[in-house]
Amino acid sequence: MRKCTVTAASNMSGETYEYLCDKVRRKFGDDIAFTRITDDAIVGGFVLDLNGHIFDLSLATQLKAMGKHLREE
Amino acid sequence: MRQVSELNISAFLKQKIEDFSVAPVEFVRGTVTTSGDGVVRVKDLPRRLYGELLEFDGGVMGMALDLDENGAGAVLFDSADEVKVGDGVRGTGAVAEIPVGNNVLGRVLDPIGRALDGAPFEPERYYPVERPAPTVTDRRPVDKPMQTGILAIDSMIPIGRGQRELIIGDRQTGKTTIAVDSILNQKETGVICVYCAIGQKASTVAQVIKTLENGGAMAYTAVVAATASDSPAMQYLAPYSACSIAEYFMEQGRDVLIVYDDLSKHAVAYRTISLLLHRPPGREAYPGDVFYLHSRLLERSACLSRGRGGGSLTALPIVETMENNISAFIPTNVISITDGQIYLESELFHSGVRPAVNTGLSVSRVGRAAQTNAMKKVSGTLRIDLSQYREMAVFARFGSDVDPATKKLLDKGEGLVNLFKQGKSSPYPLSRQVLLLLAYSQDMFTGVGEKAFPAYLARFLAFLSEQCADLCEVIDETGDLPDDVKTKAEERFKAFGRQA
Repeated sequence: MRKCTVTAASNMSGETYEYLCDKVRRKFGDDIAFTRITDDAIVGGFVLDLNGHIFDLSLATQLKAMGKHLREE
Repeated sequence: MRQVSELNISAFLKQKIEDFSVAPVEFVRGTVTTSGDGVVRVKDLPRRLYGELLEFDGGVMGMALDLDENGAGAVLFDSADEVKVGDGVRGTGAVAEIPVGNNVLGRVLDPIGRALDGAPFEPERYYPVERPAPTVTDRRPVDKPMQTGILAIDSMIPIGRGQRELIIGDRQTGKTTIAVDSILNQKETGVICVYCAIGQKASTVAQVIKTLENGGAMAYTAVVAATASDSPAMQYLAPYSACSIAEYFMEQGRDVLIVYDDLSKHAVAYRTISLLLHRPPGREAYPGDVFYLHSRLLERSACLSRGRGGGSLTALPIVETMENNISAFIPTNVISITDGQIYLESELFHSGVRPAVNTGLSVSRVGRAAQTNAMKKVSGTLRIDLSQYREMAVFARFGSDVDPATKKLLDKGEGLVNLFKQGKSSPYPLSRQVLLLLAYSQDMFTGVGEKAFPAYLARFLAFLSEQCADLCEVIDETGDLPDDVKTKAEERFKAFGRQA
């Protein structure tokens, strides 16, 4: 069984969490056990950690990327 | 930055934000399997780039140097204590970069661009620390002098803009002094300087910075420092970072002088990393690619073609020898990479000849192509004069009676040796060098005697400033010594001779 950790900035609603888990299962298979944690450092959005494979859709990372994009000539 | 000033700023920002697309950042999180002495191995971290920056849990940064199918060997930039076995690590997809631009001048940075001088620092833009060297077609021959202000060097071992001239010698022979004096001599010449300290004592680096500040050189100089207490990874990275800073200015069409102080400590740092990464040791335990370590760095020095902006990057790498052994592994490597060497000898240094340049073993492969006409006219016979003097001086030791011709040769040679003695942080401008050598050819320094020489030279330099200012101006402006200027100078020298 693979492990998947869902990190959000604040408590995600049950409905959103289930929707997210469903999407992950459809893409990667059913043998995934989900856990969820909260970390306000990510500001918003969420981060998925699937057995060390990270999908980062957090607002903190996006803001960082936008900052870099703005500095580029 | 120019783009921003030319456009309406808010429209520019709006456009940039519109261009930005939100996409998930996908990466693999690896695990640290071993950690020690600033070197770690990580697993489950496939598809990494060579030299990619890795971010460890807790924010410690490192660089991937050994890649295999599933993991990597990496060096840490910060304290190794903060990384433990089992910690997570992610590849950033970026290679190490260093801030470049005009605002690095006057600053002291570490090899990853953090300001070490305590003042706030807002980087303008970044360059990767490892960049390809200019190609053959991007270059043009070296033909313009890079004046060091040191008479013995500028007259006999001329350095050209875009050249790589090694400064080699035992410890405490004045290697750093020559490099720092060369930086000081670039004041008001438009040349940008970069001083890179590798594995030096922090107090030594502080002393160099103080000298540069006192000489007003920090306005056009950037310092990159990885001291002896920094990790081997930082010491390994330092010269590449400094070179990127210098390349930025070269690509803007500027002439740049870079000092690597020193590459023997750099090789030692790389050897440490390689041994900790379990790479097979070779001669003197250095890894097999230690030649490439320095050749790829020094090849980045160039005199760019007009099409590439015409800038140049002159390198003064320093290598420390043990017991004057220039045939050790690293010295021979760097000698073969560079376009000449200034060899400093401890015997000369201790006998009071400073700078302690051994003119027999020192050479500049660019040669006279990188000398002004004025210098060419007055320095033609110096090497021969000096070697004849040394040869005669050896024989003269055996007997006190020498014929008048030999006596004159010995006196003249002694005068030249004394003339080449030059104080720390007191470079001569081109005009003074030319007139001093012209005076030497007129036997102005013959028979002065070693003890009386410093006072005599000081009087002569004062005389040049007072009585020959107009001639100095012509020489400095044109880089030439026209016949009429030469004649006038010779006449005025006679007047000085009568006063003396």
